[in-house]
Amino acid sequence: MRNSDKIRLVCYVLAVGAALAYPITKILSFEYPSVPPKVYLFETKIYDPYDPMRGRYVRLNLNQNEVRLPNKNIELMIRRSSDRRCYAVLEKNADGTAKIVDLVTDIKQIPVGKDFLWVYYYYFKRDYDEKIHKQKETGVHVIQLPFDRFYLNEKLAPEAEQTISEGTRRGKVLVQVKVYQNGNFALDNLIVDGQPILERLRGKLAK
Amino acid sequence: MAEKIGMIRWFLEELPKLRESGVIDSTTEESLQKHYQERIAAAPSLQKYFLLNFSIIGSVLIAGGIILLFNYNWDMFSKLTRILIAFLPIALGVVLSLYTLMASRSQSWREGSAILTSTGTAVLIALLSQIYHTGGTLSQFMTLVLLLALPLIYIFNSISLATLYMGALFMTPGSWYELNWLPMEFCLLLGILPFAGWHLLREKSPYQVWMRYLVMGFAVFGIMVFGGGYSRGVILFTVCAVFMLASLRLQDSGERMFCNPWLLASFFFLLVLMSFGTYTGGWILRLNRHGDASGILYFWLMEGGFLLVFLFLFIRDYLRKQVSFQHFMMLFLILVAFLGILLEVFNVSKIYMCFVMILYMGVFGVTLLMRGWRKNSMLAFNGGLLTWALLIGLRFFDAKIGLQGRAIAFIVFGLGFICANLFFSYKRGRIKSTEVNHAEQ
Repeated sequence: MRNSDKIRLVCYVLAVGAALAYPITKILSFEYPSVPPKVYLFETKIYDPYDPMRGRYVRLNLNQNEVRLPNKNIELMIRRSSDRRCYAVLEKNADGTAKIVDLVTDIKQIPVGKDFLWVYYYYFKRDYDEKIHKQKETGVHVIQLPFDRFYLNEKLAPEAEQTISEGTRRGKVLVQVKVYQNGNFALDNLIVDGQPILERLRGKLAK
Repeated sequence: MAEKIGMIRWFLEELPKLRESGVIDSTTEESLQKHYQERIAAAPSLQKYFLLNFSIIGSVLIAGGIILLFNYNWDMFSKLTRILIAFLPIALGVVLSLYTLMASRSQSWREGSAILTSTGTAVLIALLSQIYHTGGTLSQFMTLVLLLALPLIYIFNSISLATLYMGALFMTPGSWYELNWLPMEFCLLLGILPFAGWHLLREKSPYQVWMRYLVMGFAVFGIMVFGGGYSRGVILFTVCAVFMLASLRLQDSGERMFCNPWLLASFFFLLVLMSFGTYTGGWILRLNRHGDASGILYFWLMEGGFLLVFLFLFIRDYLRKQVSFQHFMMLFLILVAFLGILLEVFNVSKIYMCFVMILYMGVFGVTLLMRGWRKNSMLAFNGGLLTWALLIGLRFFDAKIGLQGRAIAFIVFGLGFICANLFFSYKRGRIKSTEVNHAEQ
C-alpha cells in the first residue's frame, strides 16, 4: 500500500463517517425521540405526479396552506426577501385535525410547550370586497407546509389518486403527521374516510 | 497527449532519413531514439484512455440503475428491512473503495469507487426521505449529496465525479418560490475550485484539457446564482474578459482549438454582449434594485474572485512580457462594465453607454485585425473582420437605408471579406517561403 493511499484511506474513513452521520442521526431522531411525537391530521387533496429519481408519489395539496390570523392582518415578511422561512404554531381542533394558530418569524417567539413546523411564507392575500371593489384590511397568509408528497408503490399511486378523488366527494382525506418537539416531522399515513390508504388500496386490488 | 505521441512516432520514423542525409550522426540518432521511446512508454496509451472513459460511463449508468432500483417503493418490506436495504449501496461503495485504496489500484478503480460511494450516499438519503415521507425539494437533496461528494473528489482525484458534480450543481438552486441558500451555494462552488485550479495549472495533469471545459460550467453556475444579486451584466463582462485573457496565452503557445475551448466561447459571447450593448446601452448592466444585503455580498464575492483571477493572469503575462493590445482591451472591457453601472446608478441616458459600446466594439475589432496581421493568425484576423461586420450590420443597418443601398453594402462587405482573406493568405504564404529560403541558406 502506497503512503499517499494510506493518507487517502484515513481521509476516506472520515468522509464516509461524516456521510453516514446525517442519515443515522435522522433515523435515531425519528425512531428514538427524547419526547414522543404528537400526531396531527391535516386535510388535503392529492394528485399523482412522478419524480424521475425518487419514483412515484402523491402530491399533497393541503388546505392549511392559507392561514387566517385575526390579530395579524399584515405582511409578515418583506417580499422578495431571500429567507422566507417562518414557524407555524399548531393546535388541534375538536375533530382532531390540525389548526395553525399563529405564524412567527423567530423560533424564540413560539410559546413554550407548543408544537410547531417550519413553513415557507409567500405573501399576505387581502380579502376583496366585491360590493365596493376594494381590498379589505383583513386577509389570509399564504404559506407552504414543509411536506407535500406521500410516496407510494408505482402501481398503487394512480389507483390512490382515483380512490381519493372518489373519497373526497364523500368524505375527508387526511394526512397523518408525527410532529416532534424540535419541529421535525414524519408523515405517518394517508387516511381516506377513516381508513389508511394502503389498507384500502390492497383491499380494492384484492377484489 | 495522443496527438503529441503521434508526432513523436513520426519523428522517430524520420530519424533514419536524417542520419542518411547527414543531418545527424548515428550517436545522436540513438540518443534521440532512446529518449523518445522512453517518453512513448511513459505516456498513457489510447487504450487506457478508452478504458477510463468507458469505466466512467459504466459507473454512471450502474449508479443511475441502483438509484432507480432501490427507489422502487418496496412497501411489502418492513420499515427496518427497507432501512437496511437503503444502506446496501453505500456499503458496497465502502468495500470497493477500501479494496481500491489498500491494493493501490488504478485510476479506473478509483473513479468507480468515488462514484459508487457517492451514489450510495444519495440512495441512502433519498430512501430515508421516502421511508419517512419527509419531503424536501430536489435542490435540498442535491445540496446535501454534493456536500458529501466533495471530499470524495479529492480523495480519489476523480474527474468523473467532478464532472457529475458540475452538472448536479445546476440542480441546487431552488425553483422560483424557494429561497436560494447562497452561503451553501457559494461553499459548494468554492469547494471544487482548488481541484479545478490544480488540474488547470499542472502541466502534467491528464485532465487539464477536460478541466478547461468544466470550469466554464462552474463559471456559468456562478453567474446564474450570484449574478442576479446586483448586476448580472458586470459579472458576464468580467467572466468574458477572464476567459479571453486565459485563452490568449494558450493560443500563443500553439494549443489546438479543441484544447482551448475558452477562446471561441468567450469571443462569441463577448460579441453577443457587445452587440446588445451597442443597441440597448446599459440594459445588460442594469441593477437589481430589490436585492437584499446577502445577495449583494455574494455578488461582490463572486465578482471579486473573477477580478482577482483577471489580475493574476494580467500580471503573469506582464512579467513574462507577453502583454498585447488584447490584454488592455480586456482591462478596458471591465472598466466599461463598471462605467455602465455608474451611469445606471445615476440614471444617465442610455445613448452615452451605446456610444461607449460602439467605440469599444470598433476598437476591439481593430486590435483583433492587428493581432491577426502581426501574428499571421487567420483566426484573429477573421475575428476582427467579423466584429466590424457585426458592428456595422447591427448599428447602422437599422438606420433608414434603402434596400438597394443595403444590397450594395452587403456585396461590398462580402468582397472585402474575400479580398482581405486572399491578401492575408498570400502574405502568410510569402512569409513561409521566406522562412524556408532562410533555412536552406
